[in-house]
Parts: sequence; structure tokens; C-alpha cells
Amino acid sequence: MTSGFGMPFMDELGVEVLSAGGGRAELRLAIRPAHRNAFGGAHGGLVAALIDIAVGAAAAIDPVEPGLRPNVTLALTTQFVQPAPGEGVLTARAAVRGGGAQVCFVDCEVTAADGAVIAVGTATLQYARG
Amino acid sequence: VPLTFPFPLKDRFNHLLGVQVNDWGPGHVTLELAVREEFENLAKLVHGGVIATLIDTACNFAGAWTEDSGERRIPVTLTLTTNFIAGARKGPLSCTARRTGGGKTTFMADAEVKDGDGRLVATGQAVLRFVGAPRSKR
Repeated sequence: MTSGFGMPFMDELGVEVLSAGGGRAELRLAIRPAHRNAFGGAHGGLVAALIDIAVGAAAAIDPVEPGLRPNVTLALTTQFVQPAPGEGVLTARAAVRGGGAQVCFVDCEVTAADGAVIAVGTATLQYARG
Repeated sequence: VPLTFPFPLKDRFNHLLGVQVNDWGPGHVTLELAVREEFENLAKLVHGGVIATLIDTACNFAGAWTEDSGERRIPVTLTLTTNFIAGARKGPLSCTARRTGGGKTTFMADAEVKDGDGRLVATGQAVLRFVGAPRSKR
């Protein structure tokens, strides 16, 4: 399966972009057995990776300027609000909260299939130069 | 020589990535991860999610050491902060973490990640907790 974005790590994990635009992005990930931690739930690293991808996607679709804006994450903080399930679908919703010409701030919430919030993340991103 | 992965086989995500434990002792650990093409982001650098996983896992190990392996428990991460200092391309990545403080139930750990050239590419901090641990006396 490919994400259509040409990003190898998204394809490796099986991350799909459901929608992106206006400084927002919604992504989905089907949890596989290989994604589990020692407790049998989705690994925190997987959840952090999903958040990192989601905040990057939200920042890449500029609310004002047309076209994709490549970016890198400078910092990411994730709060694991409750244990993630070991199966089903995780949904990440990210939104740009502010920033300037070079740096932006993006929030992200990850929910399980039953709608429960399992993690929240906040990231600082920098737009690639040129 | 890398140790075999000392955590239960149920921890599948670290197996998927190929994380290895090189050095593990009281309050510290060093993990190693070979870089693969599947880890790349659009800039052809190692994706931040890979690095965040490495930091998360290392912080877990740093606080989980016990002399008696039968007494070992696995903590869960409450909060994880990662600073991506430089792009990583060349492996293997090496992640060293140390427990910085805390108590019997909740603890803190710091981690740093270096690339195959020994260049610092990321730092991280985590707050972790042993779930189901006996409550400390108040």
C-alpha cells in the first residue's frame, strides 16, 4: 500500500491521508500486530510517528498560499492520554494554530475507533527554504 | 555484541524497526538502530517518528533495569518531548538514555540520538510510570 505522498515511512506504517487543506489534516492508520507494544496496544512510538506525519501534512497545505510547503519538525511533545488499542483504526486530526513565514505551531489529536482521545501532540515546524 | 531484545516478543513495534539493545544497566541504556530505506521522509532523511520511537523505547529501558530480571516491570510513557536537532541520514543510529529522577512509580529520563558519524541529531525527555504499581505511602 502506498500513501500517494511518496514518503517511504508513511507507506511502511500504512498511514493514509483522508483530507488536508486550510492548515488542517486528517489521517488514518489501521493498527497491525507489528505495531503493538509489550502490553498489546499500539506502541507510543507509532502514535508519535502518526502525530509527526499529521502535523507535517497540516503545515504542508498552507491556508493562504497555494501549493505544498515542505517542512521539518523542530520539536514534538506527545501526551499519551490513555493506552491505545491493539487493533482497529487510529485517526489523527491536526491543525495549524499560528506562526509566521518560517515557523509554525501545530496541534494534533489522535482518537481510537470508538472516538476516545488516546494522545494529543503539539509541534513546532519549520518550512523548508527555497 | 548486541544483546537479544530483552522485552517480551509482544513488543512487536521495536522488532519491526529492528531496535537493538547494546548496553543496559541501572538507570541507563544504549540502543542501536540500522537505517533502512523504509524509514525515509520526503527529504530522504530518517523520519522523526522513527527517532521518537527510539527515544521513547530508550527512556523506558533506562528506568526499567533491575538486578533480578524476574522483578522487571515495563513502564508506560505519559509524556514524550523530542527535539529534532539535525537531519539523520547515515546509520546506525545510537540512542543513549538515562534516568534523571523520580520515584518508585513515576520517573523521568533524558535521551540523545546520534547518527552513524557520531553527530547529535535529536534529544528527548520523557515522563514514565509503572502501571499497577503499589501506591507509595502518603
